[in-house]
Amino acid sequence: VVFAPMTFRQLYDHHFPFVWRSLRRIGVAESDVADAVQDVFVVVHRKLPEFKGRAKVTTWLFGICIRVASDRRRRAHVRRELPTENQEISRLEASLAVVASSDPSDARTVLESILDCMPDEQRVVFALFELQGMTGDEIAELLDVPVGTVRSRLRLARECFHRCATRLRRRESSRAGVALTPREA
Amino acid sequence: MTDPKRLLDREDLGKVERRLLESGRDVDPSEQAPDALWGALAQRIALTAATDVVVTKAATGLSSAAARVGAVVKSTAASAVLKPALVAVAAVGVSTAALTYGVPGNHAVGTTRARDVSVSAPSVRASSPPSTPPPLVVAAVQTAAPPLPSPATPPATPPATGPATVVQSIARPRSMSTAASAALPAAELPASEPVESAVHAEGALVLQARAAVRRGDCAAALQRLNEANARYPQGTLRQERDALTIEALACGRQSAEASARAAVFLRDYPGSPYSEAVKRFAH
Repeated sequence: VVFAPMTFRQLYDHHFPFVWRSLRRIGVAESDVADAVQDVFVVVHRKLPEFKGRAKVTTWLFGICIRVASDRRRRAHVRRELPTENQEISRLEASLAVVASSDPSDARTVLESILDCMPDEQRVVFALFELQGMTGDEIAELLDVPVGTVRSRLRLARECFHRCATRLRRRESSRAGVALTPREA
Repeated sequence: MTDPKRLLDREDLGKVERRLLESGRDVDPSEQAPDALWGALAQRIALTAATDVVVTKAATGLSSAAARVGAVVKSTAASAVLKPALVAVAAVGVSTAALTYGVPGNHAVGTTRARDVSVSAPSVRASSPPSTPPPLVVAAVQTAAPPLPSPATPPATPPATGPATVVQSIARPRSMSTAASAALPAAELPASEPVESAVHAEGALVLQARAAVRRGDCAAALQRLNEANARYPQGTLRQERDALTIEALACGRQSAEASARAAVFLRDYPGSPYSEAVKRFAH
């Protein structure tokens, strides 16, 4: 890979959407993403001289996104206990009325809550594979773990995702007038 | 062994699951977001560099600390090939920290190489640190909680190329529209952001307020933000300040005030990258 030197501003302009999307997909809430993007580029600015172009820029950036998201999550743990899966689902159930709307951002809020229940390593693999569309091999290289590990994390993350979705669906069907999917006219 | 089929590619995926996953794919930023965040980011980078110098050094011996100030500046300068303008901004931040915070209540005269760095950083690829620790930099190291600069101070004397005698007037905040800022490529800086000490001081307050909010110290955050609002009512970081103020009010249990301000924010800054953060507090 030949790394064409670019200024920090060029890199920022070119990769801003990628960093934003990546953070969102690995579970950074929309309300936190502006801050998190800045955190990422502060690190990028500091580390740019060390970047030799041996990996793709996006791979490098994604690694930073993962660390930033993980740090922010850890700080959230310190400030307030993050919910367990059951607590989180109860909270989701309480807000089903919101979910019933057809606004995609409401569904995204629910998805974020589900991602939030997953352990870090599972959430990242799930987001990269299911939302970002990366292959198992690409994820293994990015995270520097065997591809078998990637697949087992994916399996566990999917189980969590399905458990949450099933409980939501069950709850939905027990409530008249509340639907997770938009109603047909 | 091959990858499993993606959930969204599977026909047997439930409606609920499909809707949730599809919602996770559409997460693009608004078109204004990159420019809107650039100003605050440039501030953070400059000020992080300045803060790093003060904080890291506070825990070490003074002479090695002073040497490290040089090292920080040198390593920043070494990256000038990739990002000359921000290096310059960072170097200016570093030297401002040294000059501004270095002599609290002290009218002492000292030599400074920090000024050399602030002037030469934009164009150099390797700026050697001073071989002996300059007194003024050591003074900066000792200042754990530096007083904040006042914007209303006279401009500095023109920068010199060698070690210079510094009198009190230059140890105070000064306009940076001297040789240092003149050397900055205009395209690299946010257009609306003049490089001057008032901007750095405003940024420093915002940075401190942000840190206070993150550690849950809402009163300290509000104090910093009120100070910034009073001193720089037309500052360049108003949007960020307003968003942080709302967050700090909410965390200090002043939810009615937070809600009222959130409504004003959403009206005044449609499409702001902070809108989503602020919406949480609008009831």
